[in-house]
Amino acid sequence: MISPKEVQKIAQLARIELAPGEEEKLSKDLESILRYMDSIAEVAVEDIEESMHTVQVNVFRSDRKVEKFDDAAPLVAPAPRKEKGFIKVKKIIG
Amino acid sequence: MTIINLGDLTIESARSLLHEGKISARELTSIYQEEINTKNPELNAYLEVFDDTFAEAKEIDERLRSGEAPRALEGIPFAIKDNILIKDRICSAASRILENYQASYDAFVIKKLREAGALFLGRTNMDEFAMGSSTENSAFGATKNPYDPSRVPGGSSGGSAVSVASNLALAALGSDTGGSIRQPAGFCGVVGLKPTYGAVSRSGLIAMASSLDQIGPIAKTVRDAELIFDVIKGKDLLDSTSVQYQPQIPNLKSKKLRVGVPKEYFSVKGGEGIDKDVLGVINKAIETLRGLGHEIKEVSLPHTPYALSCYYIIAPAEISANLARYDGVRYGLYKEGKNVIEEYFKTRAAGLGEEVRRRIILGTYVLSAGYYEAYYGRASKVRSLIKKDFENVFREVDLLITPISPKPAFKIGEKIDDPLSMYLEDIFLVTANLAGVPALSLPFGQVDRGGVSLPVGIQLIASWFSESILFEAGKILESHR
Repeated sequence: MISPKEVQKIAQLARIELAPGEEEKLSKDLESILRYMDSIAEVAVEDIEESMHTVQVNVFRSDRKVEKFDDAAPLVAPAPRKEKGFIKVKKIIG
Repeated sequence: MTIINLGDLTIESARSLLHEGKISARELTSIYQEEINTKNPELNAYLEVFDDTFAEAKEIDERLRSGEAPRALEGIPFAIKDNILIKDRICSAASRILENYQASYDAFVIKKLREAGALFLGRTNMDEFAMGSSTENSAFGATKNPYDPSRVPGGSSGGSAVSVASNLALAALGSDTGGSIRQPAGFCGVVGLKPTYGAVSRSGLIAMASSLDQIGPIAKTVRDAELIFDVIKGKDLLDSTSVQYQPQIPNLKSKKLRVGVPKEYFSVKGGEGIDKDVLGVINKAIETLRGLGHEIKEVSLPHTPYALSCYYIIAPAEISANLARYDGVRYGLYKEGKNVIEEYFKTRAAGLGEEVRRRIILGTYVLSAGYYEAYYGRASKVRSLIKKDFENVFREVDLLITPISPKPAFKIGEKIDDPLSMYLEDIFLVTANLAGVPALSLPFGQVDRGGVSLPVGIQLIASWFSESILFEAGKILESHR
């Protein structure tokens, strides 16, 4: 149902490097999990709305005044690579 | 100083002792720290014990001595699950990827506990990112069940449950996405509450599956769990799904409760069903309620058999999105690569454990083009039906009584190589998260396994914002144990 090759493709999408041989093991694990999950195909769901949340609340709020935020240091601090208050990454556009 | 028997101590009794000056917050803190020093090397309940709790206890003592009225949790020493942020402390979610991550703010619940006078002893072990039912998935070693160290304490809040069960803290916070408070509480013989979704803010909780996650108390008594819940609940601007808690005052026709026994929970497929000794404990609880004059009624929640499938589609889908942020850029582990994309791959491979990677991949799969409709879309519809089942059943009864787990605590290593059998542990628990209703687990009996007595509990489920019914029924059962 989900081949090692397909696992490899999904892992690419999920940005996870697999160890050698890991796709075979994952393919076996996922096979048994997905077989169990297939039971939901039996449920009649025509005209049923999808539930993304359980308690219906209005998650929107009214606009608030934007205040100047000048305490960025603790937010930048955990970044593994940083310079002069900025988070540093390698060049992404070639 | 008064001689304290930690086994009998509750939040209420500790508060009186502190208020009457029979013990100081410093003494209480030291007693727990000594217990931790003695027992934690074997149990591995704590990942870190804070070194300045004693100094904070001193402030509490000064406050108590000044004659100020004690606050709700004045001087009560807590253990905190390692996915709840405490400012300036490491918060690792028991993952290598966050091993050295220091929180820059307090979670809402931590703020609330501080304002109520609580003390924090340390942060507790858990399954990595709260993914697991045994605490074996921690990157920092498994936690042991205090009743039998060859067995698991349950999970993912295993460290929190063990700390309360072994007197390494008077109370604890855990988080529950699909049973992670209730199952370890059950395996360790303590009380656990998963509140109504939205009752407690998730701000400062490291997200696993945002539509299912709730923070809740683990405590020794139902009353203690209630006291903590009263402190931590409430609307928070930083969690748009949190609500102003408006308790549903039970519209009880008489003092008698209508207790539903959902038949689907007693005819599970998969595994070998419910252990007969566990069933014996549930039946005893049902008969106790009946004997006290409460109405017992068999009820049906017809979509229960699909709940676990539904959960293990929706939760991994949300996990795959929530955990995309661990990429080695903003926080956590970083592995060098030749470009930024390669760095994502290497960092995530090195920092995320096996179960976490499995769930991210499963979640990415069920959301991917061509499979979305069959899996995530369909599961979201089944979720509506599960919710509807609860709406219908709570027109007939005030609460439901069910098992927590099919069996008592299992052996370390027994299920770790078989993910599906581990997932089946959550079969009675995920429904409450999918529907958002509150659920309480409490100990009610013991079973003998190889000469060792293991605790067995029961689960009570009530309607949205009806925690008060859970506390009421829980206290009744507790006093007739």
